[in-house]
Amino acid sequence: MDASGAPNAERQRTWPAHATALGFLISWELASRFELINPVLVSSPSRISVAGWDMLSTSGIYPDLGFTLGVFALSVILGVGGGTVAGLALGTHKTLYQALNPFVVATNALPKIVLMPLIMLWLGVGFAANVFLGALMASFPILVSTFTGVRSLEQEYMVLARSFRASKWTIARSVVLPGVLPYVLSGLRVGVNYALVGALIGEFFGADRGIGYRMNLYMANFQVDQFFVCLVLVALFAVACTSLVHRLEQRVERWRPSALGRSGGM
Amino acid sequence: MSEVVLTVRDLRASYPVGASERLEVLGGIDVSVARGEILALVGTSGCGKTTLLHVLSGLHAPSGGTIEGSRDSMAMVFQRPHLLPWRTVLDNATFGLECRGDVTDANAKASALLSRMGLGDHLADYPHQLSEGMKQRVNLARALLVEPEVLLLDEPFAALDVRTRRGLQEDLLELWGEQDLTIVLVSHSLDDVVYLSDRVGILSEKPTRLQELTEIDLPRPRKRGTLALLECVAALEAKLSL
Ligand SMILES: Nc1ncnc2c1ncn2[C@@H]1O[C@H](COP(=O)(O)OP(=O)(O)O)[C@@H](O)[C@H]1O
Ligand SMILES: [Mg+2]
Repeated sequence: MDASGAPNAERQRTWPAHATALGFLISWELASRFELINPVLVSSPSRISVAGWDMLSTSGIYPDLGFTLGVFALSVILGVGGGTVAGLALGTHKTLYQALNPFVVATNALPKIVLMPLIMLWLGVGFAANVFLGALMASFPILVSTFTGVRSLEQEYMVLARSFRASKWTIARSVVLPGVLPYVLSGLRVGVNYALVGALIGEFFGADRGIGYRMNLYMANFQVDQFFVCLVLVALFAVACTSLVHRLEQRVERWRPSALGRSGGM
Repeated sequence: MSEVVLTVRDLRASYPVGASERLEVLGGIDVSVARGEILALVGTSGCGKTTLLHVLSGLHAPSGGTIEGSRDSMAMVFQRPHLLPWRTVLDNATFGLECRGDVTDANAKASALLSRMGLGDHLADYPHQLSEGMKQRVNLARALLVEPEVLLLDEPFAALDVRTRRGLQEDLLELWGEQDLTIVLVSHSLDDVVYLSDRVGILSEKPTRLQELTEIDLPRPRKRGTLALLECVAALEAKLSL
């Protein structure tokens, strides 16, 4: 399902990427087998597969996966909610914008990770602190994007609605929200990644469960194979989330004149 | 003259420019509009035609004067189509009804009207897939669907080529003939308005006033290019260039 119609064949060819992946995996495997690189440090595709099968066929990892997933999901929900509301408010309310904009810009520029020790001090180590960081990180790209969306809404649509005596509520529902939705989603595409980063960083910092906690633990014990399994899981999950949001964006933007170049983006 | 639906007295409007000054655009317009007529107001670009319609429809507060008439039952057809790009043709047409909170049978009414206007095959299209003429038809349909007493038209033909323009004018006349509709049309083109209107008013400039109203006393349906029509245009042309 590609709303962009028929992008040129050049872009649709997938074999170069498959070849790259295959070549990489084979070289890795061989380099590790013949000990050109230290297999204890860099593992190998076959060792990772075996470790992965072991871990996924016993139930030990699932509570940790569930924990991280929970933190992530709640971060996304809170981040979307907070980012959208704040973006709409700042975009529509002039005084609010003037009062808060410098602080929003400063907070946005701040690498949120430096707040983690403080957050942990206030909320304790664990679920709440991790959700807080994840939501905070997810909300800013959504806030900025939503704000841009509000500001770039054509004034003439408002004039049109007012000419039909539309209520404020109707204008919000029928003009502002649909006009801003694509911007919210493009913020979300970055936001889901940030939420994942936030969730994992919280676990790296100190936690007693979660996939990030496990990665820390495996590293401390030189269980590189198991570490790589977690890495692969996180990577697959991140790609799945991003492409889900991308799909959503395409659905919402069916009406766009031409989505050319979209399928070839990064 | 029959029943008056709209009376405008000494209507003034201005825009703020800079810190404290105001640009006077309308300098006291007096006109009354009879039920069922097509009244055209002609003036050069920038003389305040759009401003006048915005004031009439309540989009811009006048700085003086009075407007009597049921302003709630006016609908505006904007100069540019103003279609919401994320809505289909059908959903754009029902937008006015939606704004008025009148959604019963909106889709059925809209698709009937759009089909009549030759857009039956395009109900599910998005605005970017339409030609300028089609967009302007949706613009017109959206306003007509709220069943206004007075339809305000802001140079609806300006961006169209000759054939499309004539097609739209025929549609407009046909719908006007069927419904109990009063039309106030502003334009800078005398050819268009003489063909369409019952009365033509010429707007003077700086600040804008209504100079005089001329009856176009030609029987309907009119034919384009007839001598009588051309004479009317020439007579108005002479007044305009004064
Ligand atoms: N929002 C505005 N602010 C300031 N000046 C305006 C605004 N809208 C229109 N004007 C000015 O008012 C005059 C009349 O504009 P307008 O009503 O759009 O003219 P027309 O529709 O006849 O071309 C013009 O000189 C224009 O520059
Ligand atoms: Mg104008």
